[in-house]
Amino acid sequence: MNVIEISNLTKLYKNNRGIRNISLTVEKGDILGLLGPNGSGKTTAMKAVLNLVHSIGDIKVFGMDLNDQFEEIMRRVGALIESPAIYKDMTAYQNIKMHAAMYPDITKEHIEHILDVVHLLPYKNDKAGRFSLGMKQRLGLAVAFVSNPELIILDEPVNGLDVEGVVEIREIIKRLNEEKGVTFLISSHMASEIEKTCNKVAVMYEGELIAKSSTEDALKLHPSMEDYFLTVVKDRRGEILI
Amino acid sequence: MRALILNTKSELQKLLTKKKYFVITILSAIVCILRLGGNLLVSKISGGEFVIKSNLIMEMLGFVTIILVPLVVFMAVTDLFASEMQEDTLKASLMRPLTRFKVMTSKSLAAFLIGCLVMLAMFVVCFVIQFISGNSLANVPATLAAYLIDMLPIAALVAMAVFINMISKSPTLAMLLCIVVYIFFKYLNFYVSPLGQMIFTAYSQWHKIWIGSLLPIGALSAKVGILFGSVLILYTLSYIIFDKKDY
Repeated sequence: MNVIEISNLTKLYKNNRGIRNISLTVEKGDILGLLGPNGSGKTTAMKAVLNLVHSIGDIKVFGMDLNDQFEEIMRRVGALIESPAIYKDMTAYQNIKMHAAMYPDITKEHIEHILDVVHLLPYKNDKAGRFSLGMKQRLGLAVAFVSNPELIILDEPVNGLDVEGVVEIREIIKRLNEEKGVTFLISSHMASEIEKTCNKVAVMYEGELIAKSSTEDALKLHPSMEDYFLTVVKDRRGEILI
Repeated sequence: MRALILNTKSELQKLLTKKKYFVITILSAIVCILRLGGNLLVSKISGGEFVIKSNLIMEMLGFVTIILVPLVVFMAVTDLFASEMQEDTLKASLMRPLTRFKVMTSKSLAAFLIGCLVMLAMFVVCFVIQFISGNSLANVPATLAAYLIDMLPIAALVAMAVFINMISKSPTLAMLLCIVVYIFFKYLNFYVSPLGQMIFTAYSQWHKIWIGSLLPIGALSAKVGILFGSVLILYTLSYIIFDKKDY
């Protein structure tokens, strides 16, 4: 079953950057990584799936049209796009509770459990404005996880995290995927991160989707994800990269 | 509808976590006390010859509706729109299971509600001061009605502020524009006739047309039309801009 179906998606900004003619499917249970350099269109593609930007093309999530059934779709989706949207005058707990209020049956215990998962429980009554970059990122992830979504969209989820934090978040993603069957769409410019976290990879370059493969297949022919990325980019450019 | 109510509650909660709304209400309460102190001072200086027996609650209504509430509403709308756009937190609201129309409406409702809350708080403060000072409380029900009626025109102020926030690129500019446009409209209301009476800010003290000597029905409906027509036009334009934006 396809959780996300994108057909011929185009979004161009005034400076003519953006994404062009992207078609992509994400199947249930996938952890699909969008890999590409900065400015390749990963965030724009994710924003289009969340209706944050207006685009041309068809987007279906859970088989529903994004424009027609946005509310139904978003009840089943959690997301963290760019910098975490944190209200600095509120505590960590209040930030999550405010988001959780839109979903039924989310208890105080569940919110505290999510805070514990991202290691913020000791700071639940601290104002989010005083958090470090890494703590804000963890809080943003907690907001994305709290509604028990079936699909989670994470844009550079390990931004600002230390080595331990990166490993923890990776483990959380894998656990949610294995135990609860949550589907993930993750973007990163770090090939190693995609290699360790995702079971599928889609490479974006200069606003276009230039390759898609399972991580396993990509690593059969290439020693690392980084190598795979450089090869497909080289093929796309038709030149030798140094 | 449930989602709209829940999100309005969330937006209001955001505003209530900011201390400035409490500070501005406390400062306004001090203005009330100073006003009463002024009355008592006049009485003392004149050796009791001039005793000002005033209806403080009603006297403060002008200050509340013309200065305090517009300021609070402009701050609230700017916090919920322009500031959130600048701080990139608006997308949190847009990623909830709500249409953009509901997001905009819940934010506008929260700004309207905080305006009403400040107004009610000022009524309570004035009532307590009036009670303590021993002045008459005979007109309190009518005065409360005036406060309640004057809450309706807040909707037009919210609509104006939302529109300005939609076309402004920074919260500072949005707040400044709100104040400048409001002062300009007030100038037109007071000094340019009949054009000034066609602008909704002329009806911020709406109780004046409903309490006391009632206006003819034609004049009443014209004023109601101007007020709600303004809300409708400004809100529709704001929604068109809000819906077209990329975040």
